[in-house]
Amino acid sequence: MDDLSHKLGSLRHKVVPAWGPTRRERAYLEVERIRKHRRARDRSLGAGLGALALAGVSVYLWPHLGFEPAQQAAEVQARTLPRLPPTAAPASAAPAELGASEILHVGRRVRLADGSTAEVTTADGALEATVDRPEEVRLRLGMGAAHFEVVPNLRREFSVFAGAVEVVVVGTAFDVERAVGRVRVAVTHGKVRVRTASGDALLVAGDARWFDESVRAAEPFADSGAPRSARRLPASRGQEPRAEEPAANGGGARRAPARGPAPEGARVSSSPAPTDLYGRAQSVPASSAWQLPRAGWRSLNQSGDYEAAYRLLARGAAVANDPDALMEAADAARLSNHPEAAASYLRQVLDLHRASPVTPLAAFTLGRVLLERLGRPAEAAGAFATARALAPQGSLAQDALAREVEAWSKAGDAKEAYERSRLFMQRYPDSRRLRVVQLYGGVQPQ
Amino acid sequence: MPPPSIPLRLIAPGAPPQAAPLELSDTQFFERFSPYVARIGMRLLGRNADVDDLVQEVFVAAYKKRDQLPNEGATRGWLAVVAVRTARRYLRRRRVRMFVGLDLGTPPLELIDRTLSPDEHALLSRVYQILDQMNVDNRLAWTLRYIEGEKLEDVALRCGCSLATAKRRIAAAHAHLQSEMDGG
Repeated sequence: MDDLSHKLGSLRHKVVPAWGPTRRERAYLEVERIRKHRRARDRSLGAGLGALALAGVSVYLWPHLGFEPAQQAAEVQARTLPRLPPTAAPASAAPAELGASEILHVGRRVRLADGSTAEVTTADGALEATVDRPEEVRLRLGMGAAHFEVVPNLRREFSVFAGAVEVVVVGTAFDVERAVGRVRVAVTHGKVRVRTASGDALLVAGDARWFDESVRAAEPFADSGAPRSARRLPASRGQEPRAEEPAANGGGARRAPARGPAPEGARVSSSPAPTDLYGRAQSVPASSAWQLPRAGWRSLNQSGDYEAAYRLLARGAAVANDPDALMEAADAARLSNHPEAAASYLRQVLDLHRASPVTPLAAFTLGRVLLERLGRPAEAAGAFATARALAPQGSLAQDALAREVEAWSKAGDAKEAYERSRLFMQRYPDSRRLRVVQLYGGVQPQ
Repeated sequence: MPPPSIPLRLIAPGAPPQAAPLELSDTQFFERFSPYVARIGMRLLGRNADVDDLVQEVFVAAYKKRDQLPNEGATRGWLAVVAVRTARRYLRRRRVRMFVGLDLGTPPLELIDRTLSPDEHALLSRVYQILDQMNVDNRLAWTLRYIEGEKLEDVALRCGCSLATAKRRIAAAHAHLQSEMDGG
């Protein structure tokens, strides 16, 4: 057996993907969606001929049927924006997406009971209603960002909870974005009042501010809350301390201070009854990822359950201020499809641990996240340049320069792309990437 | 109505291969076999990001054929064949994109095994970078043999070729890899 075969023999079993429960469920739901779509398409194709025949008959009989086309159109238009139902899955939505968990994800815009609208605007966004009545609307943003257009109504209470931050509005249009450890509120028009543990702030049109989420969320996210039927809220407002999280590696659990009596929309339970992406009810296997995991986020991360690890991180599990922990947190975020959070952790490595040997890798990975996942090529070019600067002779230097050329090209800066490609040709004339770099850099191959 | 829960079926160590027909719900079927397909997909494609699409395509096809799959062994074999066919299509598309400059090749492997040393990780990444430059059929045969660890006969079955052709492809790929690893 040759040397390569021998080495691969001992390594091949390590070439495995992170195929944890959450990723598996997501894939299954997509398979089901495709199968349904194809069945519906096959049915409609089969019915096409029959419909053509029927249309011919209908045209003949139309004057005798008494329909009111305009009225029908108006009814359809009134139903265009689906409601966010408190108890039943919306008929207009794919049941697999909302199901019993009733969480709104990106691309869905809903009309609330008071006439306001809400729309999740990022791929990792998750929004749900805890109260949806004409006189009271309470929404919870678990993660990501959402846009709200709130109709003015002095008699109605409208609040959005994003972790420990509560946004109270009267009539306005605003955005709420929840990142790791902080919440951003941006007001398009009108005013909003933002309540945090450190006090209230009033934002007017044009204002955009980040609020520190140092007091951890009092409202558990949907998949660890009480049974879905708990929709009626107590009259008083405030937040209850959150159930203590299992201690994460490198950090202890935190307890939020009590702010008042029974919480708005909070479903505090010592035995969370989760639902999952399949829409299953509360009894689930102990090993399921959608339960509140008992292991710390680093253990989950290392076992490949990145979704569960990230959920703990998003709820405030401590991340030690050392490069390895931050890189692991970035992995959990990246591999569970939360690129913004991943970028945040990677930037912390760059900002706080410049001299660490892993920092070039952090810069390179940041570049990839910015370029491939977040669509920010100019920033990505900067990150790749940093990776090169930190380790000019390192193993990533050539790749970093190649990716920098690509990034500048995609950012539309032909001049920078050209100059970097010339540098690449000078330094790595025999590289197998040369041709591609030349293409991105606009250099004619010789 | 919520889908049924998925019971886990424990198999005793050393139990003989499953010979009885599979009687699994759709979700049980997916739970049972998707890890296997995901693993093959990762090993064939070398990119974590492509695994989901491959798994989805394989299972959309698999559900149509489920009634014809007699037992677990046959199911795995059939899934592997479909996975290889799907991977072949993906890899050919990737090669075209690389040729026109829309793809810079497989980045360093995203592997979750923390026991991998940097050198081991670099070795595997280098292997996959070389595989990206290789004839797709040769690459698939070699990967099934050396990464998935299949027997030669099974490599031939999965690739839909004769045993002699499979051996030839594997040998060509291995020689190319050795040459690149020694000279690169």
